[in-house]
Amino acid sequence: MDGGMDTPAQAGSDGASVDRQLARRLSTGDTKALTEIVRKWTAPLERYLSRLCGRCRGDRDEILQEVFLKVYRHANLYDPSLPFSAWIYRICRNEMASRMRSGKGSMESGEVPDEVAESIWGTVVDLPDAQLSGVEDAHAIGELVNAMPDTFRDVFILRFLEEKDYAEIGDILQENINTVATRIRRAREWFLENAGKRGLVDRSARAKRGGR
Amino acid sequence: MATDLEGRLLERIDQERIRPYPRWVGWLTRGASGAAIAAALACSTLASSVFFLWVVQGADPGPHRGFRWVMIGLLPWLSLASAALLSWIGWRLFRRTGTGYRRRAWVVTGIFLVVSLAAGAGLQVGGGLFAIHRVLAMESTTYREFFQGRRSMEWSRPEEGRLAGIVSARSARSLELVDPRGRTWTVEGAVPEWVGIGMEIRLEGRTESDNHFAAERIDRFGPGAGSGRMHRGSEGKGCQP
Repeated sequence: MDGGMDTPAQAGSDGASVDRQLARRLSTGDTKALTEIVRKWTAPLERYLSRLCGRCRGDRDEILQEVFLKVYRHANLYDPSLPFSAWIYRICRNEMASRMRSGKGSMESGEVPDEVAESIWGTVVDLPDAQLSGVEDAHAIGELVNAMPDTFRDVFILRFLEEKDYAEIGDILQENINTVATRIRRAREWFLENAGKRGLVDRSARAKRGGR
Repeated sequence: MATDLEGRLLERIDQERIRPYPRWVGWLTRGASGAAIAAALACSTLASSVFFLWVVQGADPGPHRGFRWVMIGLLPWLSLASAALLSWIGWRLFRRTGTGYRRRAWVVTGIFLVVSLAAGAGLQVGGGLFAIHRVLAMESTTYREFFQGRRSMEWSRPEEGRLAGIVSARSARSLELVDPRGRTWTVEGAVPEWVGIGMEIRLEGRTESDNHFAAERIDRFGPGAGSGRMHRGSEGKGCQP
């Protein structure tokens, strides 16, 4: 629970009751609780925002400010049956989406660092004998993620970059878990197909995997 | 970074005097959602009930009855489609509640539809639909005019021995009806069994006194009646005042 060192997954499970307590304190207008929430969630949310929107770096602070103010304002509307992490991620995503609608942000330019690209490759492709032709080119993988249709990109980032489980993704996107599973599967298929087109996945390896 | 952000946040909260929304805002939001869902369910139930009414009344347009009767024949299905549409609206509203999105669309829509069909059937069989219809027919001129239409207005001339209206109460020997002008009549005479509360009927006979009518013949207006041709009334079965 120390600062922003927790991964979102840890924060979602181990710190759930602490988060709920903080939310309860927040609902009484306790600004110290807000400070604790800010310390804990700034790093994960900043990372999430950077993956959603790379070019709006200057706006990230502004977005985060709005997110935490919304958390503070809506503390009494928080439903404790929902994981706090899902709630705060949802607010963050909605804030980002509303900025995009008003033309202040762009979803086409998320950042995918090299190590994340390799992690995506390992998780998504998951082929023991895959020929990782050009996998070192993390930039190409980043481009692929950014080129994804929004409905796939949303779940793809949450699943493979933020490492959220299906239920939490459902809570963030306010979608049924089956819908989330379907979107993740299609996003993965889209990724593999386009990685193949760009020569990132060896065709023979994909054929072994079942023709995808 | 975090410290800067904290500082700026606290400054804004202080400057703009931002406070968490009071607890009742949450209750109000949830209450409004619940009310909207209940309203969708009630409307869907009503539509289902109307569907069962048309099915029970057997609104068969029959051949060569023209466009109007084709439309009347379609009404049961329009009612059913309305019930399905309202159930879907119910799902959309339910989805916006706390964790409503976790349920599957077709499951929730299906539950809404099944509940509204069951409640609609109950409402129709239990007489609730007629009770609503009766209240509306008695209280609302617009509803009465819409429901009864021009033909009732044209037919209903008590001074010439013709009366039309919606049955608001009945017994074996008399009934009460509201005519298209909103006047309540007590009708004396043997009342056929098919006459039900909320039904639109037309009568032939004579006006005995203010608001009292002696019926010699009772026919049915409305869908399935074929302007009196499909459901023959009580001609030759007494109906003596």
